[in-house]
Amino acid sequence: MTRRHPLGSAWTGVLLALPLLLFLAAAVAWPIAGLAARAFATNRGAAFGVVLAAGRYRTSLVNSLALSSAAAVVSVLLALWPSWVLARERFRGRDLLRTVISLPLTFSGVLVGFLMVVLLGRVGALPKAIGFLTGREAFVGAAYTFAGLFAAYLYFEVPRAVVTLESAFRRFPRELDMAARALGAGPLERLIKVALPAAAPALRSTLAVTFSASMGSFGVALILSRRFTVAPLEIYTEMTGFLNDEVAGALCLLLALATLVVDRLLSAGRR
Amino acid sequence: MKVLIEGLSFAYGREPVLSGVSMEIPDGGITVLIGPSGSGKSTLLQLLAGLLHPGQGRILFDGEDVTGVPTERRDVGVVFQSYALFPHLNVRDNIAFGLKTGRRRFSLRSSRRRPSRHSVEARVWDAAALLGLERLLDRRPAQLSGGEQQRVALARAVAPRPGLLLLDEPLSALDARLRRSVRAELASLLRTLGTTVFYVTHDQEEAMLLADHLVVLDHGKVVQAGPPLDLYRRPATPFVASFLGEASLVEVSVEEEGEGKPARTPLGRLALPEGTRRGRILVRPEDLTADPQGTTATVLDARGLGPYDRVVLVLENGVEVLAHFPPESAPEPGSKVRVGLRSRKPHFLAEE
Amino acid sequence: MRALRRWPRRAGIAAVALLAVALATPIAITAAGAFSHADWYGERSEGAAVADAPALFSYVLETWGRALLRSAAVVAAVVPLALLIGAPAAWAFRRRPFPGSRLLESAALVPLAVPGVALAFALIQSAPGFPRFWLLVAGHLAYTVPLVVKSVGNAVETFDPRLEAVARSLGAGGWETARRVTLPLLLPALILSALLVFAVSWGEFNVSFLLATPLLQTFPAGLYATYTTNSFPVAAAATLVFLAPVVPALIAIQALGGEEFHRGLPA
Repeated sequence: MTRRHPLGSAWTGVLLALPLLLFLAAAVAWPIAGLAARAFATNRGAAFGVVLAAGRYRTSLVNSLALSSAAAVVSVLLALWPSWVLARERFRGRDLLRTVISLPLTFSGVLVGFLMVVLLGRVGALPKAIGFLTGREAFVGAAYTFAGLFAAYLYFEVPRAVVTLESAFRRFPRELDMAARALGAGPLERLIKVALPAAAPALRSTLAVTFSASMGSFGVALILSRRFTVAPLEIYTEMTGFLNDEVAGALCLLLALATLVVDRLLSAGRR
Repeated sequence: MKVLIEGLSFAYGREPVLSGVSMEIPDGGITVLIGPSGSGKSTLLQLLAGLLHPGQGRILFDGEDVTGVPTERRDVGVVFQSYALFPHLNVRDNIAFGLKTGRRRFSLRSSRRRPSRHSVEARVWDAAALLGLERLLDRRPAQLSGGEQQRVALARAVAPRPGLLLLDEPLSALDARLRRSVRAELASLLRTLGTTVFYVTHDQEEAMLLADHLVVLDHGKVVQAGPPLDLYRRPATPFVASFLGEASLVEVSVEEEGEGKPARTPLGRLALPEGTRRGRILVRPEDLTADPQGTTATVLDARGLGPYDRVVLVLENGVEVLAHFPPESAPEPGSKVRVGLRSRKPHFLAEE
Repeated sequence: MRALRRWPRRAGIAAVALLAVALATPIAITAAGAFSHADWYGERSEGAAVADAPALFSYVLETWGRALLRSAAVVAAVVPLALLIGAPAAWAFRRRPFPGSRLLESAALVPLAVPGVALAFALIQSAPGFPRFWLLVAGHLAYTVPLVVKSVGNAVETFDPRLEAVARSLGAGGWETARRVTLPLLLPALILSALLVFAVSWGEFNVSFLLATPLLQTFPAGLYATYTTNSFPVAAAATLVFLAPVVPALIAIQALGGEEFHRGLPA
């Protein structure tokens, strides 16, 4: 919808947006397109066959998808209550708690992996504490399991979810909640019938964001996955280890495609 | 439902908003709370709704102390200034919302139990019909005009047939012309419903039109309460006098010991309450009339407003009074006229 | 009365506090590790054979000093570039829309959904001779420009478009209006975006690691190296060095109300 703006023409807009357009084209669209072209051209896309056939590559893609979906859903669920409280209640220390919770957003993936090792590795703090208190061995080396990787994902996804949902809940007009109360709805009813539906777009976008971040997660996997693999890891090994460019390229594309598709699906219907 | 408010106080942090407010809201009538911005009107409404908890005082619904009862269990319906319609539900579901919630305490008195699905539909239809919304039931709030949204908010509040209906400046979001027409409709609608209504506004005309019982609030305190015309003709303080309409207050001081004898005032000989010395008499613009035997006054300013001419007069002692003359009859500024009060017994406000 | 509302509220606050504690614990342990004598950490205390804090930190700075500088250089390039690319476009989308501007705006957010590894690989493949530094910058920009677009876009939406009209009516030309009205009004959002870009770029690992050469390493890559050696104290110290610039930035972001941070760093 473009009208001729009374103060200036749309051409100014084009000019101002030009750097963005050029950047996206040159630094994102062009390289990815080239990747796609090469992958399809070489041996008529044989690399895709290799990747999609059963084996290490396919497993890595499946792992990525499974872990990312699960992490997205669980992190949003875990974030629901804290973000509602942060958005609606006033209490001392709220800003401090919010700052602490959003700290992991700045962490590099490697850092999160490291923190998991600190907590749950072979000499992690948690096993040590449990051992000290109960004399039993538990969670030793848990960081390197599937669950450990999942926990790492949650570590950087829950803060992300909390921050997004909090801003959505904050914009939720107070009077809607009051109206629901005046009509006889209890707190749980209000959450389910009023708050969640109103926050649905924000929920979807949070899911999209957490999913994308998890799919691209590389640093964490680098440190933590010893016994299994995720797609970014495979790409890395193919690139640097085996110099198997076509396979790496095919993997890249499939990974990017899966992420993009889910992201767009979840964001559809919003502006 | 008869509502009693006893000694209600509320402070926001350390700032007092309401102090010792007591009033009675009679059953079945429309009680209007009027006051300037910041007087605490909306706070009082929210206290009645249970959305806020008072620092002190009690609220009684039909003799029952509901001060500690949360909103969802109070027998109230609320219409907010911003309507607060649920954006994700259509009109039908908005109206039905209160009929499907769980916490409402259904009192035996009103023979209300959780309605069956069939009667939910019937009740929604009734409420919609009452407000002329039959054709809009499937629309979403975003697709409605301001006036339509307001009607939906009202329908939603009355569908559960609450004992007390609370309206928080429901017309202030509408433009002036719409407000006038909606006002009259709203008044007749509320009367038809017969529910006890507590209506908050800052608009004096609205208050006069709607109120069976009028309460004036200023700085968190009740200044005066009673039938609207009573407050208009016999305001207790200058604040009430000037809030409820145009008023000129003319100072008088009595020299002679008049035992029932009319006293001398700048507006001629008038009957004042016994034993009064100093104070002010209330002169409404409609009280002044051309009187060949009246006092002389000079015209300071005259402006034709259409339905009447607004004339500012100066009395001999320099006091300015406001008068309404019939249209196009106002004398020129600078000329002299003789005016007098229609009543020989004006309302008197003692010296404070 | 009040008691009815108290317990859900208290439970809620407790939940928030619990979450914060859970997230802060590993960091606290790490910080302790850098400052305490390393014996209590058992077998991971070998390696660099340094045990007290100042020596630890200077060791870290010596060994990975170049990586630190490299990170700083990248960030110094990325922040202004991201602002220059993203901010004018964000303003234009709201105030001077053109056919396809909606599409372009959505497209600006797409790079966030592309995994860093994939983008890095694509960049290397499509421009093999290109200087690595600039490929790195491009990769960082892909994940920071969307943040700028979103953040500045939101800010533009909140201030009254008539302000610019008023300036024009008082005789200010386009550029003058921008300089004296638009930019000052957008300044908080621009600062916020700059901080966001800084935080994201400083911690970026995925693209940087893949585009690294032995000479061209960013600090997060150095972090990785410390994690794979056997010395916990060194790793802890390096972590703290990494966090040092970022934590104040994050606090500043919170203070300015950084709601767009949810699209933060991919890990």
